[in-house]
Amino acid sequence: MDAGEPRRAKREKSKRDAFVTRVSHGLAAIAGGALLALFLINIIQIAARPVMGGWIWVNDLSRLLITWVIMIGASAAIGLREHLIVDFIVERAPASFRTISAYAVRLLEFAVGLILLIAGFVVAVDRMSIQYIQLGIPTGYAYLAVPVLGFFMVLFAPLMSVGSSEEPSLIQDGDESQ
Amino acid sequence: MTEIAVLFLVMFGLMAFGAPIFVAMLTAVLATLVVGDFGSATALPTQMAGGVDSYELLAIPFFILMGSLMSKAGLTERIVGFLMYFIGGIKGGLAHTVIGASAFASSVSGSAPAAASMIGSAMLPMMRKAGYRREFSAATVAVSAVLGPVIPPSVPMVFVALVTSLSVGQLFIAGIGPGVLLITGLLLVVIFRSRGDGPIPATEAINPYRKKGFRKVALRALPALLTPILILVGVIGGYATVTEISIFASAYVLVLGLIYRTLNVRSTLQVFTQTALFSATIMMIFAAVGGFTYVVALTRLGSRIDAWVQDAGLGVFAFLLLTLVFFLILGTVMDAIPAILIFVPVLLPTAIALGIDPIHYAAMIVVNLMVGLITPPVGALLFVVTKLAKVGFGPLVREAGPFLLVYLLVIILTTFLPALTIGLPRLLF
Repeated sequence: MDAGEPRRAKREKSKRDAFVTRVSHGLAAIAGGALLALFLINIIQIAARPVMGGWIWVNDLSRLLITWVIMIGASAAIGLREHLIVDFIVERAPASFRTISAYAVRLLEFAVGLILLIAGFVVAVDRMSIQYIQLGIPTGYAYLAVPVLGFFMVLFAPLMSVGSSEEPSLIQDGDESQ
Repeated sequence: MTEIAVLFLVMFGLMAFGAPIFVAMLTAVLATLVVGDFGSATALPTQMAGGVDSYELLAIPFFILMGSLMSKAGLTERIVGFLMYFIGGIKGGLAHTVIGASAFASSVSGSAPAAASMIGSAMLPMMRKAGYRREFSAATVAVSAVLGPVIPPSVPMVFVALVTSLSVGQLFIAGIGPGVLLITGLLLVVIFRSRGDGPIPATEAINPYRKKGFRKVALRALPALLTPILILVGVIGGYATVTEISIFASAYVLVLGLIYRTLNVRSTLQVFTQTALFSATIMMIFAAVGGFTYVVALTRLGSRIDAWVQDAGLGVFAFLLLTLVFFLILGTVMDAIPAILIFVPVLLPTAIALGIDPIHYAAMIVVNLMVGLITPPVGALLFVVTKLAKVGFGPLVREAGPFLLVYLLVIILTTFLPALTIGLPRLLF
């Protein structure tokens, strides 16, 4: 084996991780932008309602946008390893177990992602014939967010290296649940 | 019965293996669909997207947004100053301030670890300088932050409302009674620990806020103090929906931050991105619960539990006791929100069938689960604070002991005295 091979493999691995991180940051920014749009639409609606009565389609548009915020945000969180996990057993396990479980989890994410991609696409196509009542566009556009999440799960699972969870996080310390 | 076993074994097995909670839940749902021959995998995306396609769900990211904006805008520091003016000089004053400021900060952020971060970074250096034992200061910060998810507006209560269709306003108000009891209990522990040679110094350091004068300190804090009042008036008065109140409150805090120049376009966009990412991680579990609830309905788990409770002849007391023990144990190993989303819809119908008030039952579960944040082995808050205060996990848990006793007492009272939770909602709604 060439001596430079492990170094090349390591470089290749860190390149893949950097790609996942870059894409994930981009996805997080898109989710943030969608949340900002949600905020602006609703605050304008609240302010305008006493004067102009507001717009009934805001409710439908908000439901569409929140679905995308969640699915795109969840895609970013996969790449940035921000999803909630119960890790106290794995953390106390031997290193070999941790490595095996990390690979198994990656495989599982790939499989679940693939199912969400295919089944989600079927459902989204099906829902294109059902419209939001006030907004007048197909509800399939909201359901399309699920296969998009599936796509990123499938994309990230083989690219992310095991044990690269120390990537810079967007969520600051303490910005956790509850 | 096999399907139910598969559902829970696969889910908990994968969680123990370190899989993200939502992935474990989705896999368990898929496995149950296959084992029970309940239909195709298309049920999963249908239930997931259907589960989050809700206007009411917007309250979650916007309450979280409000908390993040408050922290970035420096409003929490103003509240600390206000409390310090009054109690900063008495023995144990800084610890009392931590409890009061946490009750406020986490009540508006709805996030306990976020509150611990906010208050801890402001108060821990002051406490160290004043001569407080480091572990005691850290323990005070950790246990105080748990107040937030109990006191309104509480993000866990919003989740309970979303999965049970209970009134979110009533759930918010139901948290006030246990919240007040907890605050009183924590303050009493600090008073008790202030006696003799303990972790609290004999005299407090010079209080910098006292010098500024009441008028200045009060004027600085007033707009921030108005935030929870705005929310409570909106909820109790029914002037707007909780979702609209969360959006309006976020806008109010954003405007304050822009006026004080503690927020700018760049930092605001950063807060929106962080909020979207963090909200997605918890709301993704809500999406997975869509699929989970679907298979739970197919396996008729609710009616099986109902039948089991009747066969076993369990009364209200025994059922509440079982619930208390179950969630206390569950809370030590699992985050509160997934625990709420998975188990509350399953158990609530049985509680109602036994004649237990659903608001009481839901509120007592939330109070119960929050203690998991400060109990090992998971204790998410303990980890946040060990990092902040640079103290060991063991000594921190030991210092938190007396506070934990208070929590246990309040949980027992909340469980068996329904008036504590449903008294106020009945009075106000």
